[in-house]
Amino acid sequence: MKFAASLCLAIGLAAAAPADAQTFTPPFTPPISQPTPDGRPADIAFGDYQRGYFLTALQEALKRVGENPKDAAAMTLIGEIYRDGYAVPRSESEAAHWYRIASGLGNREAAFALGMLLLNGANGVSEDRAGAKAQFEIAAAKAHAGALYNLGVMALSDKVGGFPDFATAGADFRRAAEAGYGDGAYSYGVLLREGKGVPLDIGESARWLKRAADAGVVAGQVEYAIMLFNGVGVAKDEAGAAKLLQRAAARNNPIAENRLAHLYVTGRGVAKDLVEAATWNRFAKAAGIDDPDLDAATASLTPEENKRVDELIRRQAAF
Amino acid sequence: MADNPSCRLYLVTPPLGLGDIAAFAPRFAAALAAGDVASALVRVAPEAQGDARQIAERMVETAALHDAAILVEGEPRLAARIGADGAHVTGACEPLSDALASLHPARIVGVGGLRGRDDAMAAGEAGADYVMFGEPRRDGWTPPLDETVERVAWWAEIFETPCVAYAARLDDVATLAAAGADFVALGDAVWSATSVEQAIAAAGEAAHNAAAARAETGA
Repeated sequence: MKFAASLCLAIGLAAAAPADAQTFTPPFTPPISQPTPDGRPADIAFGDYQRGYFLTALQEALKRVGENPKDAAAMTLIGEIYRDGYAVPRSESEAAHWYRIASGLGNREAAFALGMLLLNGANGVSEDRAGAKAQFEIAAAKAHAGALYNLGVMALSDKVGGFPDFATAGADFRRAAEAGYGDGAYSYGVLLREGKGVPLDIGESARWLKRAADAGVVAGQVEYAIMLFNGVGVAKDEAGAAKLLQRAAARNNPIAENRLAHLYVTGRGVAKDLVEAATWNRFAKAAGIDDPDLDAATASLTPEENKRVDELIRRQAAF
Repeated sequence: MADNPSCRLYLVTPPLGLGDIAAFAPRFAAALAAGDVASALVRVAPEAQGDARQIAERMVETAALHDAAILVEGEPRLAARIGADGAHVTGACEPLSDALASLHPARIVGVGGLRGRDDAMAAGEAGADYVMFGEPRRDGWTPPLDETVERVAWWAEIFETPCVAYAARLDDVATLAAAGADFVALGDAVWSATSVEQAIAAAGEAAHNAAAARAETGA
């Protein structure tokens, strides 16, 4: 899912695709309040929620709001329970109601959650892009990484005067990246490499794409692997590139599957292995990448070797 | 990989109840003393969860004279409270992120029960200190050796995060170490042996030799 979000963004950057709610990341919902490091639960309602006692959590949170009408964390929790339909019939409008009060009190998780509801619209909540943006801005002012990322995507897709606002997007992605958000690191890295909205800086680009790759952003793994392989923005490291392509290929990225097959044919970064090459070529082909060079290179496998290809494909699917 | 040539042992206790401690503690101490045991995982029987703290504390005390890192199964907060070295959790998503949030970076967080490559990679990328392959499932079913070997070899090739391979039999230790495991986990294979000390010594030697041979060939 992360991949879909990143890929859409990549297309948005390259081809200026029309604004589309699909561009947005799936709901990024960090825990409302973290348990304290020494292990004491932060509060009873949240503890019940974490353990799955949603009705008890709801009652406890309502009690807390009754005692303290400014308890934004409790309101946010009520919002979550209604939004997800845990223990009570799902009601996005009820959730939006509670999120709105908590957001007004400055709760960043509530602002982000309300922003997501408004952005996509929901049962009883009309789609409201401007309202969503306003909520993301509230959350972003308190360094909410997901909100920062979404503001960056909005700056690219809501064209001002016909152009994506790369400068704003760059600033937002940078802050999201610095807050440890992998998709933010990926997007910021891509802007740095293109020099869009930020000064072109290939070394910095490599550094942020590496962060994205390390955080498991598949598109970042592929892009950074290619930079490593070619020695662009970073010292050349073919073996390191191969490792990242393995990871992206194991997550069904067709480009990674195709590039990995080439590495196995040529023996660069990995030991030459035509059985592996044929395996990854088959995966890539199934995803729509036809590569006559790879077909030719793996055409003369023995029946034994072809059986091993089948076995590798089966194992890949089994685990 | 050649840059990671060692393979050490990781002990897994049987699921313990309070009543088992008196008999088990001396065997546990003997096992820790018998070889190069890097780490030990304390498991508490499902019906003894109420006594988890006492059981884990007794195991930590028993291990105090040895170098092994003591981990508690599934209980990150308990691990922090009793001064254990870390926790081992099952499942890559919430159990892992909760444990990382409460223990990292001061303590170790390992993860097992990984259901697929994506799970395992997500665990490595989230910052787990190790991933475990091949351990018995809750219902007792243990994956076949060749499956575990394949997972270990795959992981060792693409991740720096250490991997622990569970050996159902002492005879499997060398194979798993040769596949690239950084640690080999031993549970029943040790506790059901005639001599716990001999089992540990033999396993330690097998792990060491296989890892050294692997490093030499540059695998």
